[in-house]
Amino acid sequence: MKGITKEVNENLDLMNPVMDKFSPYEAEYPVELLSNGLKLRLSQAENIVENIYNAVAKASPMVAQVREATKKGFRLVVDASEDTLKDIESGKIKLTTEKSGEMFAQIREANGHYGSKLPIKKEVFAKGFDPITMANALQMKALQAQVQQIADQLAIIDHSVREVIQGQQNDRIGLYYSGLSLYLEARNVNKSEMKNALISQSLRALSESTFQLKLTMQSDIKYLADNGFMVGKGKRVELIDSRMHSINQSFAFIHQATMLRAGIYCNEEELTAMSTVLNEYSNFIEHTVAKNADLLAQCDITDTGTEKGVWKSRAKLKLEVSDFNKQLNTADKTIYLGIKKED
Amino acid sequence: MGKIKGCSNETCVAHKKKTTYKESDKFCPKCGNALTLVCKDCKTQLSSDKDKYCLRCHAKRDDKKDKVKIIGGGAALALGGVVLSFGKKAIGIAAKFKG
Repeated sequence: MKGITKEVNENLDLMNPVMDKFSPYEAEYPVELLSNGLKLRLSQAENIVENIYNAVAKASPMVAQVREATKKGFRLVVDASEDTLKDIESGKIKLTTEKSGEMFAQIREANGHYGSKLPIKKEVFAKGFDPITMANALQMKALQAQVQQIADQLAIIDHSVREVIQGQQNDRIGLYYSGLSLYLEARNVNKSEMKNALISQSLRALSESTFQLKLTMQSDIKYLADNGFMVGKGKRVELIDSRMHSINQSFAFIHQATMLRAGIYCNEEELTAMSTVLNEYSNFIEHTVAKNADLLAQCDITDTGTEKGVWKSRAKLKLEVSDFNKQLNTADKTIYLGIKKED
Repeated sequence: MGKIKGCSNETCVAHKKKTTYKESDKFCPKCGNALTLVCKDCKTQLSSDKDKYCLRCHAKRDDKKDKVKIIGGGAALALGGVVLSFGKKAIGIAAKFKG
């Protein structure tokens, strides 16, 4: 059992180094692309967070912690007029601290009286950083455990669909391969406009493939639920098996296309879009698979009907992407800098 | 025969051996896990207590019935043919004796 678990999670264990061992046309490729993208984002986040800390510490020796950063996002430092800044630099104005050691963006002028409060602005500490990247990096870091949890859940399904994929062909699956092929081409194009156009087309093909397969799958499930096979006297089992074959095939490619889309968005640093794709997948599982898991388990010859059976384990996938989504979509990203008095 | 139950604990030996229990039994004697209704043919766990068989096994049984009907119909037809030809021969023989 432990061996199986290890094998299942191998591609999506974010603690493993970035791998590049699968050919794009192998069943493992989409999930490897997503997992590599996530690993790169996490390692980027690690570096950026470290750089932010160093820059902040360098800019103000009194500073030092990005206390609320992982919860709220960013926006830095002092919004002062040029004259005020000059005065601060020349020492005419000083930033002060309260007895508790907490620092306020309030100034004490040369006469010893407190002046007006200084709004905080990013330019002071954030020089050299792209604020969006920085915010995403901080959030990615904060959400690391959640990302791993999502990856673990996806790995369970991924393992079960790989066997189905071998040797399957139809027009909708053709669209999946078209999307994959366009993405591979895009990766080798230097001109950014062409690259973007190819990636857009790839995502479109993958999206169309996903939705066509979802409709096919829903129609096949409806056929089974409505006992459509009862009309074929003497051939009922044959009809059930052929529909189950189609359902398994559709599900496998919906999973692959979803992983590929999420992987592409992740590698293009579009984390919000990635989380939207995963959320959509989670909803599909909830509304199409989970609702019909009992029926599918009874019709699938390979299923035992238990909680660990094929369909009930697939139905359990409930990606906790809502919080992830909420945080990435927060309009007002603000980092609060808690500043302590120097010893 | 009524419905049957099985152990849903995948690590239990009773589950692996597909051991079945009576409907009135509630717990697995091997692991103590609650027993659940299973299909009488394939032992797939059933979610509803209405059926004895899973959907697929139910369809399989219906298919068998259909095949029996088809075979039965065919056999009756063949028997009818034999009787008819035998009858004709009998009439022929009787006519010879009469003549």
